[in-house]
Amino acid sequence: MMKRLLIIFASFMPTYGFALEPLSAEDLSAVSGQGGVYLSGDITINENGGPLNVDGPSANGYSWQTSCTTASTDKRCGGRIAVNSGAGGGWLVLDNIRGRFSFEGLTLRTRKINSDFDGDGAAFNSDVFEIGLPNNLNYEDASFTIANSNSARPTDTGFMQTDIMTVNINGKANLQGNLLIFPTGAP
Amino acid sequence: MTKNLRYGMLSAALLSVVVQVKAELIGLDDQELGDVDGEGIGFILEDFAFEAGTDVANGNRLDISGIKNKNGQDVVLSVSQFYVAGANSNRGSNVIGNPVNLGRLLYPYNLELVDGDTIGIADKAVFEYSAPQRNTGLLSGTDSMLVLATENRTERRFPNQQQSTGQRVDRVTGIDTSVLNSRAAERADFGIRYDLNVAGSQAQSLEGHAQGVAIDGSYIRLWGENNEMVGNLALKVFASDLTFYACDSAGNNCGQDVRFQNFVLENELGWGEKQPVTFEVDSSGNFTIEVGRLNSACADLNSSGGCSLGSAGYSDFYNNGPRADIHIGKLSVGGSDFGSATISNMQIQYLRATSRDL
Repeated sequence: MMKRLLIIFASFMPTYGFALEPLSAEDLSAVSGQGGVYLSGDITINENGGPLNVDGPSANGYSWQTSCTTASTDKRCGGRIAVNSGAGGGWLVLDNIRGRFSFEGLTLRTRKINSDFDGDGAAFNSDVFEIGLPNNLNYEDASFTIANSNSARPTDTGFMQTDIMTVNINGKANLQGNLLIFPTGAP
Repeated sequence: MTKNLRYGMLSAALLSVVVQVKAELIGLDDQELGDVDGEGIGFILEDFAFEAGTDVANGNRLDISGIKNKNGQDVVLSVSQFYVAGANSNRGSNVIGNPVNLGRLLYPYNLELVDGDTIGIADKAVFEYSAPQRNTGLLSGTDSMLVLATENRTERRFPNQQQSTGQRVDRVTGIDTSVLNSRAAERADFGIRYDLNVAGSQAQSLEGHAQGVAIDGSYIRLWGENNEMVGNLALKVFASDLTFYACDSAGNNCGQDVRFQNFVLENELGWGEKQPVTFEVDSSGNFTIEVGRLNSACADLNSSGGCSLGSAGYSDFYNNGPRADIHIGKLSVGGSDFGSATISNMQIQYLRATSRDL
């Protein structure tokens, strides 16, 4: 008898439960999030070559291993991005990517713009994603080389490369402002 | 037995569900992709200012190397200042705290996958990165900033050809800034100071400063054709003032200014798929840029890639094709005024440039 009562009681339970319902776009638009995110970063890339230079294969005709000092111009040192420009053609290369890059105070948040901007704000009346730029960027021997090459890797047979220019940055760059990102056009 | 039967029925039911939701992913072909017209992503920089390379004494450096002079000595461009700022930057002395808005909320820099059919590249999805668009000018009547005066002339257009009469462009009478959507407050000042360092010793210091710069109407369009990346480029620049001068190695005793006022550059490279621009690296590692032959501008090509119909086949290209115009409102060196200069209606029929390692 008791069991039967329990079962009957249990069968009533769901009517007292609250169902989870999805929020409509209208409800969602009323949600105001927290203040956003504050980021700082410090990244060092291939300061003394990279893992391939230290641990790279050396048997079977591979010759990845080399000593990479900061001043070394060996093509095996530093990061390398090679993009093929067409079937059977050569490679556009960003080579010798290395150094240290740091910043503090990058902020991420969303923002509603409906005023200012010399009158554009009211007509725009929409949300944007805002990236607040840090006040300065610090570089320590950050460098990259723009080049063209006939093969993807400097250890390929018959490797040839034309370096166009090398950029080396040291010290501090100052900046201010926000980058605003938003959708445009009609799908 | 009934239990097994139930399991059997349940499994069959589950299997049938799996079969029903099975869907295959199929690659989109060029034509289907060509119909894609997505929403773009707009970018603007609000209250922006940037400065790099200053304070060289404290080790701030931005060096560009890899160049050699004719004697084989290494030449290093050592940038001692590069800046982007608002108006009245006073040649880079007023940068941080003097910001500018680049792009407008209603006319932003835009990244978009465009339906090629709308821009003369049939059945292709075209990747486009564009600066704020241009308006039709109140004075110029086109999206060009140059206001032209025409006159009625009767002349031979080629030697030994018959005379023809018509309206010809006579001169540039003014610059129409209503073409630009970037208003005065959205035009940046930027500049660069660099020292020329030859074989380890400081040789000369050079400076270039631009004021009130807008690049409205510029774009890069890229798409794929026959396993190759092809594109169209447009570079449209207006600067109210460009100044260049050289100083001695310590940055003192500067020479006289070379000054361009109201500088207009309107340049297009490539004409949809009729004249694509290709960028490639050949198998020996040299870079090649090619502005293609006018493939479909005329029905029949002669052996040198021109129209076998002669000039008649080019009328569409001459009337609607890409061209380059450069106008300097006022050119002055030191205190001397050289007046205005215009180079207009340059059209590239074919161009191929290849780099060679020395």
